[in-house]
Amino acid sequence: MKLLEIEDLSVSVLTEGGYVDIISGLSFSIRKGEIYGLCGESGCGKTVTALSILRLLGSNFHIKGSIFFSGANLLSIPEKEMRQIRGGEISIVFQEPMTSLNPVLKIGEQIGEMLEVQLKLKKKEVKDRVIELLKEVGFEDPERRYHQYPHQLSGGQRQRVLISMAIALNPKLIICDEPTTALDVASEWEILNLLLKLVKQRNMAMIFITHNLHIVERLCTRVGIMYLGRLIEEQKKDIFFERPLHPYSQGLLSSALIRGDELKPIKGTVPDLRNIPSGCKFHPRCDYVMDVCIKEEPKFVKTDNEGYVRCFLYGT
Amino acid sequence: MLSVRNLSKIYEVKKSVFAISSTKIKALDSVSFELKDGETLGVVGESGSGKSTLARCILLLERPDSGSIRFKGIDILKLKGKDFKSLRKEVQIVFQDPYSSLNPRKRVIDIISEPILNFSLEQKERIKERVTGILMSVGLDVSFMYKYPHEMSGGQRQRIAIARALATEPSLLVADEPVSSLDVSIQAQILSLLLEVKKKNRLSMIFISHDLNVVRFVSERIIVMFKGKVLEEGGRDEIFSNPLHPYTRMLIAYSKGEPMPVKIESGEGASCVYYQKCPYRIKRCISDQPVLFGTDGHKVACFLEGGN
Repeated sequence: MKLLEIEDLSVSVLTEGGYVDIISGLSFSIRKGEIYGLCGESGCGKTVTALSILRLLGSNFHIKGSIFFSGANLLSIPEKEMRQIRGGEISIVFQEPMTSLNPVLKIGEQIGEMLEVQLKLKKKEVKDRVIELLKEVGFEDPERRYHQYPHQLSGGQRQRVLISMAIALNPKLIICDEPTTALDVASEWEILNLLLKLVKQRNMAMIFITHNLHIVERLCTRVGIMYLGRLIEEQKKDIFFERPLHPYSQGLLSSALIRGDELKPIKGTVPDLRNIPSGCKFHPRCDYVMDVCIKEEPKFVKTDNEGYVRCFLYGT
Repeated sequence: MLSVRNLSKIYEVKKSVFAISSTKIKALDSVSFELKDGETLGVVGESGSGKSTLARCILLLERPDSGSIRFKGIDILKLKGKDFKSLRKEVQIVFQDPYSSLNPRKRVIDIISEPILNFSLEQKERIKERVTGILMSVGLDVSFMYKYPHEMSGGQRQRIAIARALATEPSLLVADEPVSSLDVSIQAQILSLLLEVKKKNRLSMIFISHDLNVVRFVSERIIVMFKGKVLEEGGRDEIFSNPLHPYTRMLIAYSKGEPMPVKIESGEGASCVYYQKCPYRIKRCISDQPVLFGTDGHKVACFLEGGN
């Protein structure tokens, strides 16, 4: 069953030089209970995708397309309803745990605030719930943590606090935007294990945004690779890591030293969004470029095994 | 080529601006290793492990508190004046962040020619040719000569930083997390460039990174650091096929995606720096400090492996 369905999403931002397209014609869907890895290099539009789903983009962004969640189009419902969905139905964990927490409020108060506002619980009930949540995300001494401030916690602990806020209202979908990038290896491992456990126990779906393919391999059930605001490949996890189709996907796996010990870098650099190439957006960096790639942009076509790829090597 | 003995560096850190007392943080604690001619030594560790302090000490950007560093047989900590300056020609560094390591007010030609002119390695009239040659060797063309850093991407800047390091024709290159601020596809480009210039210029290299996969790819020998101490040292294949220290085992298991218990508990420090995170800790780890022991091919600092 489809929980979230994004159809033909396009996002542009108004800059001094006019509108710049950040996302073009993005379509994908999330099913119940699945962990979708949204992957790509910086500037490919993964974070903007997340912010569009939650309608957190500023007024200088122009959004087209539709995002269906439980039957309603999130892009057209009134702000009042959207507030119920944020945190309640869809929640998000950001990358930088220090800037996402209020430095002058106690941990417990910050988690409790949302329960108070959204569920209208009494003070005592709120505290009990917060302690329970802190326990669930792996704190052994929740009572003490309740009264601590963010600066008294380590990076990994802060991220756990954010996760407890994200699950507090029992959302159906949790979006994680590079939640472990700022952490050391051991803490990263803990956080990933915790997320896996929570997704299973609470039967949530998760969109996991990352540039790290090693994490995708470990965590996700499906993978979507973005390049310059477009999905260029989407596959089930095992199939993707065994046989990536798009030349960009192949290059990424080789660059991240995942397949074999041979390093075959992708040539060139990611183009500026204000100056994107004609035809297939990857063609200036592609080793298999053909005439047609320069003139036309390939469509996102279905492959065997329920995957999709955007490349003329696999038909039009 | 390089022999480092019992290198220690302690920083005093005040708890607050007004604090009278200060805590001592051992950034480096009796670090020893050898680097052979033409070899690449990988230094693995997370933030706070002292790996960057190690790099800064080898470059003498930071004076160690004790210990010795011998480069080609000379104790570089005793060098003064002219000899000290000539060390800079021999040992060069590539920093992590190409945005802050290049002077924003200088053009590429000025950045690269400065060390060349400084050591009088080329006449002024011929500097353009020299810089062109160096640019080519890092995969950039002549058109970059008059660009400023802000006109270039992160990957291109890192190529300029490598070009600057190569300009004095050093024999030892220290690369301190040279790819960690770059995107994956650019990381691979810079890594293969480093390997290429290393081979062509017959360099020895110290490659510092938190990423085990990257270190495995470039290094012949590896040292694993944690809180200023070397926990394990050995040949690359030996370390990866037979990791001994619990920390190394954790890092490798993690990079392979295997499940493994990680124990993180708060609490006071013990003698062994890894005690707090170690799932296999024993009583002795609290009172005694394990020292690095073993053969030349593989050393470890852990009581579980029979250390003292």
